[in-house]
Amino acid sequence: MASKGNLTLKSCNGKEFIVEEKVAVMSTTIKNMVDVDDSFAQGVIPIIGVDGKILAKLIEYCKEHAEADEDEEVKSEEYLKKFDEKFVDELNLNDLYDLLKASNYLEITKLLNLLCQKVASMIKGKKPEEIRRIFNIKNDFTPEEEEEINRQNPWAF
Amino acid sequence: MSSSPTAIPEDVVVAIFLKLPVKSLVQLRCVSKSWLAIIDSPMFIRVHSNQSLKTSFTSSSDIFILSYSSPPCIVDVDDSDFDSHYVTSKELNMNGECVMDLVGYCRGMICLREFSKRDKTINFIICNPLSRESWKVKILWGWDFGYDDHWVFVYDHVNDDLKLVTMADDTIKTIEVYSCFRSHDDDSCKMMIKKKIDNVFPSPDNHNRNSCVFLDGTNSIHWIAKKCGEDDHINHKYDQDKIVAAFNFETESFYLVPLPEAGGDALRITALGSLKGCLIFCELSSDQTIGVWMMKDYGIKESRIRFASLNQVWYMNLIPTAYSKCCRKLLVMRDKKLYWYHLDKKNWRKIQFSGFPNSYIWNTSVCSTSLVRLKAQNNYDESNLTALGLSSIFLVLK
Repeated sequence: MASKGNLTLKSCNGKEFIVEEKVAVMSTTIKNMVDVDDSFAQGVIPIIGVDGKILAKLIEYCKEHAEADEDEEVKSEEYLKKFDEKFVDELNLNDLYDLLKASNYLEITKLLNLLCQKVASMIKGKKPEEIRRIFNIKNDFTPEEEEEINRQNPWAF
Repeated sequence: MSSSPTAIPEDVVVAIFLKLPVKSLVQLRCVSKSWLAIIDSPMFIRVHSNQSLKTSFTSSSDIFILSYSSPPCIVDVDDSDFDSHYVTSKELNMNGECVMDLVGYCRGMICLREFSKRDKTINFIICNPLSRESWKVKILWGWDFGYDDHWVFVYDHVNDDLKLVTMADDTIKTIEVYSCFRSHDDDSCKMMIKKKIDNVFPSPDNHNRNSCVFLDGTNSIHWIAKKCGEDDHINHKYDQDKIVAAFNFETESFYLVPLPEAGGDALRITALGSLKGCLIFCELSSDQTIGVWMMKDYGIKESRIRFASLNQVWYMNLIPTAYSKCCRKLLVMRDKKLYWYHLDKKNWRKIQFSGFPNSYIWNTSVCSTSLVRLKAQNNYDESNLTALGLSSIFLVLK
């Protein structure tokens, strides 16, 4: 297995991406696959449940960060911070969810952390009904139950 | 493609919630049943309070204030108006019949001690000012506990429970550790003696008895003691040659906190405290200023830095309670009033509260909010020394 070799990642809708190994192994899941089984390093790695659009996004993120990890001179911390901000700002809600799930499944810790922070900042300071609307969550409480919960937290309202 | 967060694995939802402050989380409890279950789970509360403990050292802090004539209140130190909100709870109704004393703060929980003049009882009140939940343990005055006993409120991170510790003094060389929990049956608070340790060594110096400090994460309480072998009772240099002793209630062992060797200016520790999660020492210098030293890395004497010098001090045992993040200033209680000490201007400014009567302050404590509740326990473990359902047993005796 060539350490500087390329890997082929295949999305669930059949799109193939050829990426440098150092970029692909930002994902702990892929790293484990490659470490355990050499055949993955030569062949195609199927990324289950992640479509081409999301996989492209993941690769975009990993590329920037893999290069930064390799040589701090090339990309400063400040540059990465700006990149991260721009990256999450451009996501719509659906992409954000899909990326969250994908980065959790692929164990891309840095990205997962960034996305969780983004969702947290979206939630912060919003009223429960706004949150339900934004995230399309069904209120499964009876009015009595909801009142009881609100009564327990007089500070929050 | 699903756009519902229920499709997001629960561990991701937990990771998101861990990035939110307590005030947001309480609002989220009524979003859905699954969110409520996550936020109320003891495991989540524990991990979240561990995490916010770390971040609270870098964000602004709330201060709990107990004063003589007003109800207890909480203020945000970095709020320019210093606007206070009162802590209301059924257990905290201050009437003239009780004297309150602040035992301490741990993990978002405040422990108060109440002396009732009428029925001669001492009550411990443990309350979470955010959820307004509170629990009271009633004990009879003059029975096992006196007015003078010094108590420390601690969090045991190994067993994940809150404990009360009585401190020894020169005459009673005993430390007693009590576990506090709420009974599953009636939600009342119980205290159970966990351990009694005799012959505390080195015993706390009576001059500094109030400087007994618990540092979250160390499982230890710290106090100022005299250097060993020094038993001359009329010692005019009583404030010299002090050492800092500690007791770890997890390993049940005593140890000394390493301090740098005293140079030309001998160490004269006047008070101990904690600031930004670090142990701090106050030292009286020969020029009558008080040096505030911070031990950045716990137990490593070389990490000690001089954090501030307080000038124009008339009262030796003062200790900073909090540090403001937005300006370089320390919150210090002096002559029963609260002051800001500006580190750059080196001056004192008395704090005026809006909506807070100009009364004397009894005690203050840093207090970050948490979702922590008193741990519920079914039954006490019979193998322990004594199990006291204090509220019931002592009331029967009365």
